[in-house]
Amino acid sequence: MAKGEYKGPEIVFENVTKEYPNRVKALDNVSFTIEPGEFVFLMGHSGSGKSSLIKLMMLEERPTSGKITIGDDDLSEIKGGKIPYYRRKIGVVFQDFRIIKSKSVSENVSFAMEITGEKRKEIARKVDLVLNIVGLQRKAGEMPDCLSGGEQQRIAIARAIVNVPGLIIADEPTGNLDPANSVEIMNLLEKINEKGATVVVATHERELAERMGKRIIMLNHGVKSDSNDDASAVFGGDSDE
Amino acid sequence: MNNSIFSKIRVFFYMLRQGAKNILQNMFMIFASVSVIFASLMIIGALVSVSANMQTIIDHYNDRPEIRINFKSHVTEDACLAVKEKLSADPCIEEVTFISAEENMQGMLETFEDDGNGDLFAGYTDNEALRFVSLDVDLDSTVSGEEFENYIYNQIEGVDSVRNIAGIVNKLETVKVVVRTCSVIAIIVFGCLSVLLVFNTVKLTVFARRREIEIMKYIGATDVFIVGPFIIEGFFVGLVGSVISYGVLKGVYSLVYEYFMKNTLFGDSVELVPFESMAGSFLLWFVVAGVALGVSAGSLAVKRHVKV
Ligand SMILES: Nc1ncnc2c1ncn2[C@@H]1O[C@H](COP(=O)(O)OP(=O)(O)O)[C@@H](O)[C@H]1O
Ligand SMILES: [Mg+2]
Repeated sequence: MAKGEYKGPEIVFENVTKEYPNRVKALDNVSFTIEPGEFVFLMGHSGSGKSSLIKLMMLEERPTSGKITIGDDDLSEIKGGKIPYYRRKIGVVFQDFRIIKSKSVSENVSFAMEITGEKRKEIARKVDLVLNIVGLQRKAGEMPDCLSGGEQQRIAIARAIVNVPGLIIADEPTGNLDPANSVEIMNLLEKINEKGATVVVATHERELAERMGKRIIMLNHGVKSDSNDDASAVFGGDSDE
Repeated sequence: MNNSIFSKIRVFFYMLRQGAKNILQNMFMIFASVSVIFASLMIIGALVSVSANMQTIIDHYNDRPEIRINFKSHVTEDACLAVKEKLSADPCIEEVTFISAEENMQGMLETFEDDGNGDLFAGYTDNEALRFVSLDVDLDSTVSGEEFENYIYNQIEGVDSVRNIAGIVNKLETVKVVVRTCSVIAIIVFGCLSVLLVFNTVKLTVFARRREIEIMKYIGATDVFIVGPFIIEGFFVGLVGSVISYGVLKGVYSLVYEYFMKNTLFGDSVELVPFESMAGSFLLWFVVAGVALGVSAGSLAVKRHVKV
């Protein structure tokens, strides 16, 4: 696995506003650019709009106004039957792991490849490979319930990367983990980023984010805030393309 | 990631396996749904067979004259023909046909031979006491069979018996309409009931797996991939239900058929419709109905319970 194996896309948010039907404005005129292959933290208190922003990228929600571009995709143009194919270019990780309890570790990972109709041999090879990357090769046959939280999150990461997506999105991936496991998960995400993937991690844990030494995009009640020291520096004039 | 035909085929087989798994894990509800489809199709099938047979029976009687007047053996052909002339003049009577003593004898012989007792009768064909003439009469619809029967007995000399089947046909027509109506109602009621139950079965599976389905959607599974196994489940339920009902209906029908072949109906042997002549369309309709039901219930359940 060499650097550049994952082709990280550029992400551009231009004046994106998301208002839910209950009139809650989760995002208010947010603009930023994430470079291809960049590792970025999305930080803010609970309710600041991080998950909403991620849902927009996943096409689970649509912006009320503004434009989102990921790689060559203008998200407003991806509709209906195209959405699944778009999502295959993204690996997603959640706070609550979202793995299937009735499937073994390796089945949870191979599942993500079965939906694409990949050859069985190729699936077996790739699953082996990614389980190695996340350090679960020896637990391949076990059921998720027998594993620790950190290990379950590593299954989710293996599943997220098995189709070699350019973009990895993680919403509070360490929210249910102890500090040691949190660091390990972050290191794993950094490792994938080093292979070329663009990585976006939402978190409210400031310390953890700062320790990684990556760019931080701050959200405050749906508004991108430049109050953060390194954020303001990097973000000088990215709002307009 | 590739979109070749092979990857589509692999996806298809994956869905088949998943559908089979759903079925195995959901045996009890599958059994319940199959039973409901079975019961529904049995009731519908029974009503449809009865109404098909009603039609043949009615046709059987319609082919025959409504009223036959048998004269006593001393009445001569000439006397009988005179009565025929008289009746023919009546505007209420559509048609009168004369049946000679020879024809009657022939008819009786055939009946006896059909019953395997031809020999018993062989020596009596010339017996004057057994020779008689008859008239077949078709009435206008304005006259009732009973009225005419009374008229014949009272006004015509030498009448031995009158066989009136006009009443039977009318009664059969009424029964047929009732059976037809029941069939239509049964098809609607049991059709809806079956859809509802299969829908519920599939819904339970969908509900039990909604988290899994959610995850599948996040990792880029297409709608077809997600819905496919549930449709396969519905298809299976419909197919099994319809094939079983077909088999049972066939068995029961054959028994009934044999019974009526050996015995007579209204003292008159009527041929029932053999199962084979209805079978083709029954199997086809059962399978089409069962499968359509299963597939629609399957897709409905997913549409309702998974935000696609
Ligand atoms: N589906 C929704 N409908 C209505 N309001 C929502 C919905 N999702 C989130 N919100 C609201 O939007 C705001 C931002 O939420 P969220 O994006 O989940 O923030 P975070 O992930 O940073 O905690 C909150 O006030 C939340 O209550
Ligand atoms: Mg959140």
